[in-house]
Amino acid sequence: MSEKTINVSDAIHDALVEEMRRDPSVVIVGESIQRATSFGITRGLLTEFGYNRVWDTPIAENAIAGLALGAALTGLRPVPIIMIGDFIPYAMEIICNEIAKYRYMFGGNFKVPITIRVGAQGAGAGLAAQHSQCLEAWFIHVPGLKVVYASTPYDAKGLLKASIRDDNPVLFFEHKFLGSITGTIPTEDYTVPIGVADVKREGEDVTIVAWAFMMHKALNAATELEKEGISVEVIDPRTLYPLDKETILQSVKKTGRLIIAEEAPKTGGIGAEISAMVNEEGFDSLDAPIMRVAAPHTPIPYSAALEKLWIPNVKDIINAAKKIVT
Amino acid sequence: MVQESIERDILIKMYKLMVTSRFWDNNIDDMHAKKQMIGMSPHSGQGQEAIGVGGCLALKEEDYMVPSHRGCAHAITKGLSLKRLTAEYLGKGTGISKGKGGAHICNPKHNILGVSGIIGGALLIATGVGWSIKIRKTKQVVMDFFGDGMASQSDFYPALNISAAWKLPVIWVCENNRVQQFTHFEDVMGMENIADMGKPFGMPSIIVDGNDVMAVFNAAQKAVNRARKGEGPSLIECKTYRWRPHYEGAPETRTVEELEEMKKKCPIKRLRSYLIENKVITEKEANKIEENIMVEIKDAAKFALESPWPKPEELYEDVYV
Ligand SMILES: Cc1ncc(C[n+]2csc(CCOP(=O)(O)OP(=O)(O)O)c2C)c(N)n1
Ligand SMILES: [Mg+2]
Repeated sequence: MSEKTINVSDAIHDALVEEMRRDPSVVIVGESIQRATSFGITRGLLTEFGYNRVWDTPIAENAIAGLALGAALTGLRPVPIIMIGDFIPYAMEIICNEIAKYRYMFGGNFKVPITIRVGAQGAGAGLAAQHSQCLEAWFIHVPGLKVVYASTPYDAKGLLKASIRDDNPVLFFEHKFLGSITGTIPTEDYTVPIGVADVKREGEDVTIVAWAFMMHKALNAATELEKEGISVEVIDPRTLYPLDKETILQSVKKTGRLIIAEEAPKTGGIGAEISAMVNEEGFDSLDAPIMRVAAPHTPIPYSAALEKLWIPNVKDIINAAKKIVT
Repeated sequence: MVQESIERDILIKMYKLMVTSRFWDNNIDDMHAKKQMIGMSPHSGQGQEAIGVGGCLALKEEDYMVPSHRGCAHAITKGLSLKRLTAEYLGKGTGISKGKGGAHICNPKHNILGVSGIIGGALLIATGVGWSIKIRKTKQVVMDFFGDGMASQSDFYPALNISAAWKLPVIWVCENNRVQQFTHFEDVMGMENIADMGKPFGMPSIIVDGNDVMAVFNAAQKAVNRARKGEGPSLIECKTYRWRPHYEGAPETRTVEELEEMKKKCPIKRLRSYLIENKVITEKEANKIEENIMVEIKDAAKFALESPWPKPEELYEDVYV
């Protein structure tokens, strides 16, 4: 099996291209994706697949989601794109009340094969409170939706393909600062199954669960902590719903300590959910109270001087790890 | 040129404000390029200055205004100081929002409600402001500036409908530059004129040349008078052109030829020629105005650069009252 080096953004681009080639029912729809694109991911798609499969919409996110649902109910496999994560509240009605409910409320009569690509989440670019949030936690609370968030090129490509092939609605989240992160992937077709976590680094003393950009911060923290004699296991859930509980519980059984790190306010976050799950199903494994590294309960400030204080960073993870092992 | 007569000092004010807007815009792009400004790339308002200036000059101090995300013409005309504007873009503690918002400017003192980074909601916020004015019976009005792109968001219909049904004192001012980020108007819009959208609701809905500040001002004055008398909203569609890319550094999807052609319709040059031809000011006076404005802008930039950063503890302030 041959391999190549690629970044996350190109991996997502390639997954889209390959799935569109494989399956003519895959169509993409979003804002400003025909003439030029903000983040480069949809480049070249119009040239290869034409106007009938690559659609620019007006600025109307609820319409983007609604178009996708109408199309999904009638034989297409749409990939609607929300340009920047913060714009998804506009599409909440269709996503949470229609897309998520359609199969169940109509007694299994419909399939809803939609992959909503939620682009460019994350703070650190000086874009202020409405262009910087990580909103994935909102969606794990809605039965009927799957929530995927990859941190590496391998996972991004494999999970996007799996999401597009899935007959259920999947939210596929992306982060501003993951696009340029590189890694190796097979040149052949492959998928990464939804609902399966990955141990990104093995360790003995403490388990850190982190996804997306925070996963890389956790790896950096682990490297630093190793120098101080603390052995860290890093788990990337990759799918936030359905969560791969087993991999997390197994790890905690080994280390006895758990930290969850996320780039969002702590209250009501995914860390709270994972913590509660381990408490319910793995309490006996714990040698110390579970810790969470997360953002403060404030909107994201614009000023570079304040924004860097808001973002949970490597140092915060290191401090938490030192605290939990003592 | 047939113009309803506009007083001399208003004409001069128009000129000063448009030039200020243009120069400030250029200067902030410069500061961004030099990394003196760290954060969101400026969304230049160059080419569209006549709309914010002409519209806001028709307002009284106590009237409300919701700016668009493009440029600073609206805000400076309504009274926001260049110093606090520039400092906010730089993320400094002396900025109008203490560095929390950046380009998302406001100024409650002059009833400038905030610039949202989300395209759409402002339409309903303005509707709510109109509703509040009606309830409080204050004789104020609210003017809302929005792009042609915002007119396709789902908020537009209830905004028009409610403001018309309840005869709210709202002036809807659409800055139609025929572009919405990298999408062109004709790619996604099912109508030719945004103004047509007001007609079913019975509100006066007119199209003006958005590069003619006097035409914008006259249209705005009529709409403001009507709103103040309790006769309800109006819709003014200003046809204009965006000179710069969506934001500094963004891809440009229009041709160089088109851009060059459109720049010939510069709203500032146009007013300048009118003022000189009609002997409102001399060429020399116009030059002097420009020099003085440049000094003001440099002063504001200096103030912003020398201002302190917000203090760390401010991160936690102003989340709640
Ligand atoms: C809800 C939402 N969707 C998308 C965007 C991204 N966006 C910012 S400005 C813009 C284009 C706005 O076009 P228009 O209203 O015509 O104003 P213009 O930029 O042309 O002045 C877009 C798509 C956003 N900020 N908010
Ligand atoms: Mg526009």
